[in-house]
Amino acid sequence: MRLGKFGVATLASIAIAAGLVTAASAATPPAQQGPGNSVILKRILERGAINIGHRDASAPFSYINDKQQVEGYSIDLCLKVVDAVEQRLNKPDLKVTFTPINVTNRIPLVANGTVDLECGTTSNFLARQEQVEFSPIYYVTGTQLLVKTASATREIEDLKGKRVAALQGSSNEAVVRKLNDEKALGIELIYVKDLPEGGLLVENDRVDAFVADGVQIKVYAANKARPAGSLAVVGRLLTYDPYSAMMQRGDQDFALLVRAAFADAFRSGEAEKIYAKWFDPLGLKIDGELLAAFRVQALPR
Amino acid sequence: MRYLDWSVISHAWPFLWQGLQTSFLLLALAMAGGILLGTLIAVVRLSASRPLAAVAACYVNALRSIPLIMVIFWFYLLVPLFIGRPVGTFTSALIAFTLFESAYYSEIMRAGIQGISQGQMGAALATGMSRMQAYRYVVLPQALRRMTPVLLTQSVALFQDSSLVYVIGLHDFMTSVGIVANREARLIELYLFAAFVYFVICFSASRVVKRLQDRMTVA
Amino acid sequence: MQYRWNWNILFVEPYFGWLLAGVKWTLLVAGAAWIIALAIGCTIGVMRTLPSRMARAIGTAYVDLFRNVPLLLQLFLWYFVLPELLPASLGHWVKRDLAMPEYWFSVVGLGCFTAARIAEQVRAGIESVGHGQRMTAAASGLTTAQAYRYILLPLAARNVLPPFTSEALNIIKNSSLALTIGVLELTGQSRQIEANTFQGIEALTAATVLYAMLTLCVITGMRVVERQATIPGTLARG
Repeated sequence: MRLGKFGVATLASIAIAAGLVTAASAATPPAQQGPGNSVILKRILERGAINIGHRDASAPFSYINDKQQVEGYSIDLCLKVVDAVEQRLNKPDLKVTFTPINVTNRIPLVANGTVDLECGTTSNFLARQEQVEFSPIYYVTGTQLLVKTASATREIEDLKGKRVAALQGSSNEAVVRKLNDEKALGIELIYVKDLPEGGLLVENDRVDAFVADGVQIKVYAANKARPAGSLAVVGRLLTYDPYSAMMQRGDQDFALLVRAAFADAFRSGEAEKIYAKWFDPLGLKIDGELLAAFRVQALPR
Repeated sequence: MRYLDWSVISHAWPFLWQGLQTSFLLLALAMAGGILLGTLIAVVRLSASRPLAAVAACYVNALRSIPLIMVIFWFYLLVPLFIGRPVGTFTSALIAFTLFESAYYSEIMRAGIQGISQGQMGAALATGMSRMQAYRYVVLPQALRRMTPVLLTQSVALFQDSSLVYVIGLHDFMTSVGIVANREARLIELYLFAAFVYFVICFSASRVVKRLQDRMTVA
Repeated sequence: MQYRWNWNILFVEPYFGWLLAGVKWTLLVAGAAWIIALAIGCTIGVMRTLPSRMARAIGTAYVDLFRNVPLLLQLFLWYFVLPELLPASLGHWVKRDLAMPEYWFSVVGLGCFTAARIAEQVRAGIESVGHGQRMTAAASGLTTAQAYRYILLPLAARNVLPPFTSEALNIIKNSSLALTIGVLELTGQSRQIEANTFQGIEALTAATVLYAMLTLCVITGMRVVERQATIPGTLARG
């Protein structure tokens, strides 16, 4: 785990310094107006709408609620970017359209310009940065194990020779395959396409554990376990998955606008409020690591 | 087995119903376009012009050789690159379905035309009709009539195939079911329900087809 | 366009090997399912044309059940729901001891689904031979079995060849749905490559071309059979 090595203490001290600088910075400079050289902003102006890519069922990050509206933590943060775009283009009535995306098509849809800003649960990896541009990091998680509460499993090593479910094509799956090679664990992987399928396989004793992003299985265990409390999330973080929003690559103007909008939200405490709105009801208080990440990325204007 | 909770379905029904309507709309439009285009291709394929027939054959074979999932995906992801602007999910699904299914409809029509004896064509030509007229007034009406049940059966399959638009996230019935199933973590209930709905619709449709077939059969 | 092409990715290890593994699993799923589909499909199709009421009812029920639910859902029901309905010991065996459960469930699911479609083609083929032939056979003293063996099936076989080509192609293409219950066949492997390299469009192109090659082989093979089996005097031209 990269962050662990880096040390939360180091992060926190940087954060304090960042906080001081924030306080010192004065009023924002006059922002540039109009689309300028930005292809994406020109496109948005032409359409009169900004197109946000969302996930169908990744609560509480990005999902369709039972009133058929798109909402969530990632979406609320992206709406801060929409505010900034409205200001920049001087179009307070800018329409927001939503396009559903999934793990398979999200990168091509951002690359081909269908989606202006992707707001889901996408991990910001360097290899992905060859195809798309990323916003600042707004959530930090890593691979953990979903098991039955009664199970004796505490770490991945306890699953030697057992069956483990994973989302196909996920970083979670990749790390299990890597550990299989390195430590000769002999884990048999069963692939699923959606988070609840993995949950179902654990509940029905088809597999001994389900590896996925810690936050997502925590939310699942807290809300969907039947009977309540029958599922638990265990284990150290096996990967480092920092979530960011994606946009088309090669548009520095738009990328800067997005970075500025996120930095503003981090600096003003708006991001923490949005976090509390979505995660407090689930009993997931903001942790020191994410708070430090917010402060570090709260670049002054 | 487990404690099933069916209340989630009545709660989500408005959303599912909207998805079902999208599925029906997609079916109706793709069926109309597909049969029209398919018949045209079948005629071209059996025409005297060899190059034209070869082109039609290539079209049919190419489309029949790739999974529908791929066709849908291609239209959604690649067409925007060529025309420089995004295509809506519904439009791109509709175009993909129409082109894809036209290949299948054309095979059915080709079989229908081939099943009509050569004598009929000869007789039509002998009465002074052009080849075009012979097709229009003699061959196609019979072929269409003979093949109506098969065409409709293919359309029932098309309705089921339309569930594949989940790859591009178009909110048809299947995608809507998937969204609710995942949101509520009620996979078994939702998928059993979806199977039931598809069964009722497709079963009734196939009964109607059968009745039509019986009525059409010349005594 | 802001997409960085990298076609080389398809020809370096391990990705090239993944594509080949994908082709292998596509053929293993489709091939095994095709055997099941032909066996069940021909039996059910013939049953639906037999004089026996009972045989017809069973055949009809089978076709109605399997043809009227999308394959995607059928696979899901086989994989997730069926093991829960089995008696505890058998259920446990299926859940925990059966090797590669996703493979066997997709083969059985795909086979049973395709069987219903094949049964329909077989029935239509036999019926299209015409009532007259059936009567003639009976009048000339053939038993039901003999009538099928010498008159109806040989004639029907020619009628069902074009639809069988379609079904053979369908089963290869439909095997791509096995991905949804976790079989890493061709489509699955192309997604796997995308997940590892983020070169999704290249991976998809490779899969599309490989599918086209697989199915063109089937089309060519079936076309040869079709041509040899043509009955002279109809508008058939191939």
